[in-house]
Amino acid sequence: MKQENIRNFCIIAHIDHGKSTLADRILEMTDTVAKRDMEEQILDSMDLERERGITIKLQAVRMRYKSKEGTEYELNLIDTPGHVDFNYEVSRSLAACEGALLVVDAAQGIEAQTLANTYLALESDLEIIPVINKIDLPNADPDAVMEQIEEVIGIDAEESIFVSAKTGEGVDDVLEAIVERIPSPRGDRSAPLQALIFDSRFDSYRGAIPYIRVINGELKKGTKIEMMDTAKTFDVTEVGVFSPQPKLVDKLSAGDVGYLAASIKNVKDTRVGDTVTDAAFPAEEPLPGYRKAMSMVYCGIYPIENNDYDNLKDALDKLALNDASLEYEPETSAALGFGFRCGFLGLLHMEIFEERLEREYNLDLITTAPSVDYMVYQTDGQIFHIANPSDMPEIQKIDHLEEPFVRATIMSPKDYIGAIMELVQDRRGVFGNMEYISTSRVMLTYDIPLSEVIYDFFDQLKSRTRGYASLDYEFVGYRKSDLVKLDILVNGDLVDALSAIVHKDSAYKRGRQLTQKLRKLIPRQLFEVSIQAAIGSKIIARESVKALRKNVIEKCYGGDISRKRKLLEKQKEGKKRMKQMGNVEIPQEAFMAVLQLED
Amino acid sequence: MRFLYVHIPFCVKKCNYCDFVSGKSSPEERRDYVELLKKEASLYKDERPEDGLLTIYFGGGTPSLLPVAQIEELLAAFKEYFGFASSMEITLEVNPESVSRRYLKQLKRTGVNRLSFGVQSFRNHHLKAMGRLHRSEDAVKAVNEAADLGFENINIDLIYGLPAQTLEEWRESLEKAVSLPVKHISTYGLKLSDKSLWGKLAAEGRLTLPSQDENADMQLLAMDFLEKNGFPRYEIANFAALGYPCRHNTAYWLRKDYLGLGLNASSLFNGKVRAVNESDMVRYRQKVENGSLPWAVREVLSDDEIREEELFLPLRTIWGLDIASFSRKYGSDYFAQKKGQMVKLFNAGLLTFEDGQLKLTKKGVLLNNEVLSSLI
Repeated sequence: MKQENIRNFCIIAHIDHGKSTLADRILEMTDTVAKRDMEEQILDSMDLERERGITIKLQAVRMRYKSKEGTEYELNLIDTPGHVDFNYEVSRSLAACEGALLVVDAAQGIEAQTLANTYLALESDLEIIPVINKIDLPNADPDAVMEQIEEVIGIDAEESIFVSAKTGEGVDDVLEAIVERIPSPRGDRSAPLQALIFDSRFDSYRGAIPYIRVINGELKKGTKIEMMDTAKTFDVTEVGVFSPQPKLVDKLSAGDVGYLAASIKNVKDTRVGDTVTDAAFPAEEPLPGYRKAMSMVYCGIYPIENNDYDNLKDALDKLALNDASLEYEPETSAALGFGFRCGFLGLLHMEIFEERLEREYNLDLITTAPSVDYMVYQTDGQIFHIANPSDMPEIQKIDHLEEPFVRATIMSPKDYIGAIMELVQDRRGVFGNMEYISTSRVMLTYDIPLSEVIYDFFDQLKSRTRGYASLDYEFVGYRKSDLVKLDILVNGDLVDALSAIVHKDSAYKRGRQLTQKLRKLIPRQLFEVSIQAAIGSKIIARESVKALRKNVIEKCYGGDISRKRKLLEKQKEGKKRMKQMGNVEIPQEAFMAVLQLED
Repeated sequence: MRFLYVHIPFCVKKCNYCDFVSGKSSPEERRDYVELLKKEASLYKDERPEDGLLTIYFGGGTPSLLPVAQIEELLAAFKEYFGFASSMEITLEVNPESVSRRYLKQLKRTGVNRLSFGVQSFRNHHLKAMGRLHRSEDAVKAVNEAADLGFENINIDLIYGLPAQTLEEWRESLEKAVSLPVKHISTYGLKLSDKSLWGKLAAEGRLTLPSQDENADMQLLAMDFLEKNGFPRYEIANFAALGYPCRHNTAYWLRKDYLGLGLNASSLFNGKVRAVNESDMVRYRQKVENGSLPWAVREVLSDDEIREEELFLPLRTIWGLDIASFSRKYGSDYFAQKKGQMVKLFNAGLLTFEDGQLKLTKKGVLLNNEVLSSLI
């Protein structure tokens, strides 16, 4: 295919605005997938993605399209994740494209997420084609949405395309616009090979498979390639494209999107953002890569059964092969044993990751409450980060603490301004700006501590605005805060896994909530159990679980004996599986509930 | 095998807290059932003990629904197949409303010498709520009449932890009980299985039951009060005047062999095999009529299971466990291996050791599951 007949594009959309449906229609209309083979929402291939209706891992697919005037084109659609946690992955897919479809729901209008991703696309110099979807809805108002795009994003929306991905109306215009308006790739096919790795996947048979966008040159089976970052070389055994199943091709040329296989055993050798070149005919410079994904949320992940530690390590290693943004390192806890401290892009990323560990690797896990990364300034001049509250030095040694702040952009119908302001102020948000993006919708900007955003902020926002508000946030830096470490003591023993770093003003409330919740979760023991919340050596809240008074089998006659014996055996078994928290024995389920305490 | 249990699965009406095998019946059905019991007893005639039966216990259901003549018939059959020892304890469970003076008078002549009254409470609003058919005064009258007619060995069953019951109301019931001419009192905390009406209501949160602490206080009160009034505790739920512990039930706790006849009854043979009869009348009848043992379950106990029972059953009694003989049988290091748990239980005041016997304290009685499950 001639380079001028290639179009690489992605789709930017808010969740539920119809990205997947539009992608499905495009795949159908280009005969890439026969209608009868159409699995609903082809691009979201992970079960979890389909269940949650979101895209996590990016996917790429190649299509053939014959335009109205008869020219044959190759279209490469590179999918983008639609959730705030995955901004980093979005920027990766954008770098492999020349254009983007901006899909906006004709009834809902622009959401915060769409705005953020569109700005990312504009920064990468992509051609944006506004597509106003769901025009078949009775409350659709495409003209108003068009106006909104112009006002809020500041791009020309005059040539927006009105479609209904559901009925297929207007989708052919989208295809035409892709070939007419998105520029073809401009690489030099005869120049030395430069291909950008934008993703990779691990295949147990063929090793690590980098997904690449060829910028300059050509890549064929048999080429000896060099990874420019690591200087490692490999012999290419296979090059191919996704249509959408992997399909072998003779070569990939400048402008093409596809994959290569080269018996790469270690996925670390296919680092996302690295440049692949021809070892015999190397490029002088690597392509500009990506900045490293930043972990925003941390938690401890521990196997429930200690002997599952190796399995957990193995699972983390494997999942990390496909998830460059995952950070993890071993840690130990007195309460939980051996495990890992893991860093994630956000809460959703964390939840999905946990679920994958449990589902795909069949592990029973316990996860500590999420935390952010704090910066500690000691009186002796030492400065360091802590992602685990237990690592906090003693109070006397601390000069001050800083915590990460984000700039949150919230879009909502104007009726909910009061409710949003109340929520954000509750979460220590500092008001930045308020702007009307239409007569009925506003955009609010706040700076908020990240730690406040990761605790059910999004759920609260949704429930207080009946689901109408959308949220996006970006890291803006570390700021000094009046923070303290809140410890929990059970019968005088510190439970390290329950320590949390909280703002001083909310420490008392939090201490009370935690101790009260624990009182309900810890079953009565043979002795009274005291539960205390403490800052340093100061006790700020206390509760107690009264001693167990009665656990008795009263009737035990001829017909009962076997049954009672089994009951005692069962209780004995249960005791073996108890978890120790200080000198307190807690059934596994309660133990987990205790450690998974969130606010 | 010198201890015989006979199950009579008939009731006029099922109580709201009951999940036993029992139900309504016609006189004909009861007549039939008596025949089946006799037939079933005959199947065991080879098990005839050398010195005859020591106890017979008619439990239910409501055994006093059987006409005296039928009880006589049954006793005659048992005597024929198993023989009677010279001094026997023959117990019949009785519902206060189901017995007349005439009935008791006749019953006295059959050899039944111990009556166990299902009194449950001396508060009429409790009795009504429970779905019992008698009133407090019926129970008082029946017990007095029985004593009048020469029944010397009388038990009454009481239940505590009833919906909305107070400690005071429980004390009144206990006071009333000890004022009657009885030799034995059993107290049970209300336990609801989800099969009973109350169990279902409780699961739906529509029943206000006393808390764990209130229940514990009620059980403690029973222990203290009854002991002070001449009924020392001799088992978790059983209190008796000196010389009147129930011999039949004690056999269970000392792990003697016993034979159970009738629906859902269970037996222990050679200390090793526990069998449970069918609980479905049709299947029970079928097997008995075919001359086969009507067992639904036959469980051969493992050595470990026997050891567990030999440990936890005696510990239920006031006499406790003879550590020396237990250790001779199961190894001198058995308790040494449980040292950690033992120390914890002693420190928590749940166990004592007196005259070579390991025993539960009062506090230990209330927490016997905790104690026994960590010792087995």
